[in-house]
Amino acid sequence: MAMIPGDFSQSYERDIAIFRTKTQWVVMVIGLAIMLTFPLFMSNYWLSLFNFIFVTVIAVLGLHLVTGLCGQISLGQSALMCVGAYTVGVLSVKFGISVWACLPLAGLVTGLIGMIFGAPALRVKEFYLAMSTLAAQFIIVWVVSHLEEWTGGQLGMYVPPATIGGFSSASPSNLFYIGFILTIVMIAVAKNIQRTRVGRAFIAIRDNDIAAEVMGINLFRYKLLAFFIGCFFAGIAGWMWAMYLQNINPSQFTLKESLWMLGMVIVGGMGSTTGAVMGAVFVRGLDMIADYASAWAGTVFPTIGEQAFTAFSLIIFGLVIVIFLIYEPRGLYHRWELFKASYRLHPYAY
Amino acid sequence: MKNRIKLVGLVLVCLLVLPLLLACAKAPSATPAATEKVITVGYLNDLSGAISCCGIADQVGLKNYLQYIQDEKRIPGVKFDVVSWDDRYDVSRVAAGYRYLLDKGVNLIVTMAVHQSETMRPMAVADKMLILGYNTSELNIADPIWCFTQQPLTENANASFFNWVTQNWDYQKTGRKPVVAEINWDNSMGKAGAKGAEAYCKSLPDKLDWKGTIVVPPGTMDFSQPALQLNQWGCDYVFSTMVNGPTTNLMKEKNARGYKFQVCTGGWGFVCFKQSKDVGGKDIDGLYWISAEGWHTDGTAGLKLADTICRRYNSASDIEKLGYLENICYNFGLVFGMEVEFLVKGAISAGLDPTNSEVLRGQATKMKIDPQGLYPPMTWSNAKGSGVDKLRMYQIKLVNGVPEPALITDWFDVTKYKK
Amino acid sequence: MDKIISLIILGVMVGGIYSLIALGFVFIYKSSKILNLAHGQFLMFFAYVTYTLISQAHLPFVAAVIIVLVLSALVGVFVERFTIRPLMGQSILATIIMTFALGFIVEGIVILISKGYYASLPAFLPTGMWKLGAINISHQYLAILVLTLLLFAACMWFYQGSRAGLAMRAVAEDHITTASTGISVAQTFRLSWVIACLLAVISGLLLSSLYDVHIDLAGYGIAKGLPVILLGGLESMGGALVGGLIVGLAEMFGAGYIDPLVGGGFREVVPFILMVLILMVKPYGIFGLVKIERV
Repeated sequence: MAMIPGDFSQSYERDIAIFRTKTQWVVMVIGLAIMLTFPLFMSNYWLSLFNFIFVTVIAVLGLHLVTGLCGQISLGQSALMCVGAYTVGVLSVKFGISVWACLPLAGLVTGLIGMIFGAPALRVKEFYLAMSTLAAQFIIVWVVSHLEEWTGGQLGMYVPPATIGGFSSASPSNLFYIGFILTIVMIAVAKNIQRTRVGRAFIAIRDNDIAAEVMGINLFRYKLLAFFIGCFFAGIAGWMWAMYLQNINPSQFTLKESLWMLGMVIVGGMGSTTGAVMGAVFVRGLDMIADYASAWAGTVFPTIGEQAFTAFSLIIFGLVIVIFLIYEPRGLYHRWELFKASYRLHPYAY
Repeated sequence: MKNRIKLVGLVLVCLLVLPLLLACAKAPSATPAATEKVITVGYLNDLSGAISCCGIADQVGLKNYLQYIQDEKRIPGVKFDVVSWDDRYDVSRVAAGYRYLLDKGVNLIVTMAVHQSETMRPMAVADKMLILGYNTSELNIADPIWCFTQQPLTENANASFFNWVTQNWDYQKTGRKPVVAEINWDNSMGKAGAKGAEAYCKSLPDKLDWKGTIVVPPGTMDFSQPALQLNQWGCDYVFSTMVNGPTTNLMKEKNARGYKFQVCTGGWGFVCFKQSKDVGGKDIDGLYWISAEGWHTDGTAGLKLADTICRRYNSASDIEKLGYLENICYNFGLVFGMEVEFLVKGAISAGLDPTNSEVLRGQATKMKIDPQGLYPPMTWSNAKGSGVDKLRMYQIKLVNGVPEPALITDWFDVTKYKK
Repeated sequence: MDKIISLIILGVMVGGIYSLIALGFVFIYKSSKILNLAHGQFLMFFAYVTYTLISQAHLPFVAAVIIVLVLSALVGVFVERFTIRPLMGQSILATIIMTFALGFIVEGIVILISKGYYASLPAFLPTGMWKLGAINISHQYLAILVLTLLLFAACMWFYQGSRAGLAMRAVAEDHITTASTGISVAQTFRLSWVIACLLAVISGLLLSSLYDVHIDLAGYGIAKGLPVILLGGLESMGGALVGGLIVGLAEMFGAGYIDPLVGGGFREVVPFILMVLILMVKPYGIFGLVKIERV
C-alpha cells in the first residue's frame, strides 16, 4: 500500500466515513479479531481487568455524550451505574426476569431516572448544574441503600450471572466476550449519534445554547435527550458491572468514581468518541501501573512502611494526571490527531 | 515547543507500553531451594483509611507470626510471603485489590470486614481462591463457601452486648428496664450489627427498652446531634459499631456536654486502645469495651506467646509508638497466622500441595485450632458456627489521669441468648 | 420544645463550621472562577502537619501554627504557579480535574506523614458549657462560630475595602481588560491562592480542635462544603455564611425529625435535596450572581 504524502479525502462519502480507507478497515478487523482471541491465552487477571475497562468505557461514553457533546456537566455517572446495576439485581432476583432481558431495561430505567436529575439543566448551567447532578450521586446511593426490602440495603445483593445454555457470564473469559461485543456496539452507537442530527444539535447547544435555540433547536427536549442517552449508557455499564462483580453494594458507587469518569472525558479529549475510549483506557491503565510502580517504590523505601504503597500510588496517579493536563489539556485525542496528521504528511512538515 | 510535544508523546507511549512489559516480565523469583515451597499470603485490608488502626496492627501480627513459624521451623521446607493491598476502606477498591493479589500469585487471601469478603466472594468462587475473613454475614457464608471467618455473624456480636446488659442491670434497685440504643455506621457492618441488636432487644421487651439505631454515614465527624438524640431518649447503654476514631469523637461530645449514657464499643474488634488513648485521652473515661481476650497482662500462655512474638519482631519504639500490645487487632493477626499454619500443616501432612487454594479450603472445612489461650478454643467447620462464643467486658477508667482498662466481667457466653 | 431549641442551637453551631469550610471554596471561586476540589485535602494536610510538628518535633503550639501558616503560603504560591497558571484559558472542567488530581497528591502525602494514624491536636479553644435547663451551649462551638464570623468579616472587608480585593474582583470579571489597566493578573491569582491556603490552615485547625482528624476529613470537606456554596451562590461570601447556617439547621432537623421515619442516615442527603429544590427556584443560588442572557 503506497502511502501518499497528504492523503486527503476526495469525496464527501469518504470524508464523513468512520473508516476512511481500506487500510483502516483491515487494521480494525484484524485488531478486533486479535482481541477476541485474548480469552484463549490470557489469565483471569488480565481478562477481568479488561472487563473492568469495558464497564468504564461504556459509562464514559455516556458521559461523553452528555458532557463532551452536549456540554452539560454531570457528576453523577457512577450513581447512575448504581441504578443500572440494581435494576438488574432487583428485576432478576425479586421478579425473576431473565438477566438478558434486564440489559435494555437497565438502560431504560437508568435513562428515565437520569432525566429527572437532568431536568434542572434547562434553568441551571455550568457549576450549578454540576452540583444538581452531584445531588443525584448522593440521593440515589442513599435511596438504594435504604430500600432494604428490595435491594438488601447496605448488605448488598448477589446478582445471578447471565446464561445461555451452558454459557455463563460467571467466568471472566465468557464475560470478556459479552463485554467486548457490548462495548463495540456502544462505541458504534455513540459514534453514530454524534454524526446524526441529534449529535449536531448537541454540539450546537454545547457551543452556544442561545444561538442553538434561535436556530430552532428545542433546548429542553435535546438536553433531556442528552441526559437520557448518557444515562442509558450508564445503565448498560451498570448491567456489565453487576455481571462483573456479581455482588453489588451501594458503597461501590462513589463520588470519586463519578469525578474520575469526568476526568477520563477530559483526559481523553472533550467531544470525541475515540477520546472518551482512550481516556477510559488510559486512566484505568494508569491506575494499575501506579499500583505496580508504588509496590516497587515501597520495596525501595521500606522505612516508610506499608502505607508507602497507597501513598505512592496516589501520588504517582495524581502527578501523571497533573502533568498531563499541563502539557496536553486538550486530551489524548488531540495528541492522536497530531500524530496522525504528521504521519499522513510525512516526510513534509505541512 | 515541537521537542516538548515529542517528549510528551514519548512519555505517553512509554506509559502505554509499560503494562505490556509488566505482563511479559515474570516476577523475579527468589529461586527458593528445590525442596522449599513458598506460600504467598495476600492481605487485603485498610491500611490508611477509616479502620487503619486495626488493619495495620492486624497485618503486623500476621507477618510476625508467619516469620515466627519460619524461624522456629514449625513447618520445615515452607516459606511464607505476604503481599498487601490497601483498600482505604473503600469498597470500590476491593475488586482491583483482588485482581492485584491474584496477579501476585497468592495462595489465599486474608481480609477483615464483611464488605471486603462479600465483594470478593463471587470472584473467589470462580477462581477457587480461599478467603480468610474476620467477620461475616449470612450472604457471605451461603454455599459454596470460600470465605472462612474467625468470628460469628456481626448480628450475634452486637446482641451479645445487650445480653450482658440484661445480666448485669439491677432491675430491683432501679425499678425499671435499662434504656438501650445503637449508633452505627451506614454500611454493611453497621446494618448487620443493628439487625442483630434489634432482633435481640425486641425479643426481650420486658427486660430491655429498645430505642432504636442512629445511623451516621461513615466519615461523619460531628456527633452533636446523635449525642443529643441519645441523651433525649434517656439511654443508659449505647452500643457503637464504629471504629475508635468516630467513637472517640462521640465520647468527646458526650463528656463535654455531660450526657449520662454509657458507650460501649468494640464488639470483638476495633479495639485500638493506644490510638484512642492518644487521640481521646481523658475523653474515653467510662467507655466500655467488649473483647474476646484481655490485655497482655493476663498471663495466660497464649498471651505470653503474643507478647514474646511482638517483642521479638518489633522494635521497642514501634511497640510503644504504635501500641501493638494494646491492640486486640494484633492478636487477630496472630490468629490469622495460626489459621494459615493449620491449613498448610494439614495439607502437608495429608501429602497434598499446600500452594493449591482448593486443598487449603479442604483443610479449612476441618479447621479446629487452639491458639493456646489467645482466644478460648474455637471450633468451626464453617463460619456458620459460633466462632468465639465467650467474651469479656472491660471498662476504661482513669488511673492517675491515664485511661486504663479494668476487667468488669469475666467470660460470658455469647450464644446464651439463643434457644 | 427543648428539643427544638437544642436543635436550632446545634444547627447554628454546626452550620458555622460548614460556612468555615465553604469560605475557602468561595474565596478561590470568586477571584479565579476555579472550583477547588482539593480544599478538603488541604484542610487535612495542614492539620496533619501541625500535629506532626507538635508531636514529633515537640514544638509549642503557637510556633507550630506559625510555621504551618508560612508553609501554607508557600504551598499556595507553588500550587498556583505550577498547576493552575499553566491551565489559564483552558476549559473550567480541566481546572476542576486538575484540582481533583492535586487532591490525590496531597492525600498521598498525608498518608506518608500519618501512616494511617489519627491525629488529635491539643485543645486550644475554651472548653466548657453553659447550661440553660436541658439546653447547653458548648464554649468550643461558640468560639468557632465567633471566629468564623470574624473571618467572614475580614474576608468581606478584604474584598470590598482593600486594593488587592478590588484587583481580585476586577480579575474575576475579565483577565484581559484587567491586565490592560495595569493590574498583574498572575500576582492577583497568587495572592488569592495564598489566602485560600491560609484559610485552609485556620479551618483545619479549628476542625481538629473539635474532632480527631483522619483521612476522612477530606471527603467531609467536600461533602459539606459544596452544598453550602451552591445554596448560597458560588460568588457570594454572605451566601456561604447563610448557606452554612441553612444546611446546618436542615441537617439537624432532618436528623431529628425525619430520620425515625426513613430508617436513619437522612442527614447525609438533606443538604442535597435542599440544594436541588433551591436551584429549581433560584438557579444561581440564593445570593449568587445572576447571569442575564438575552437573545
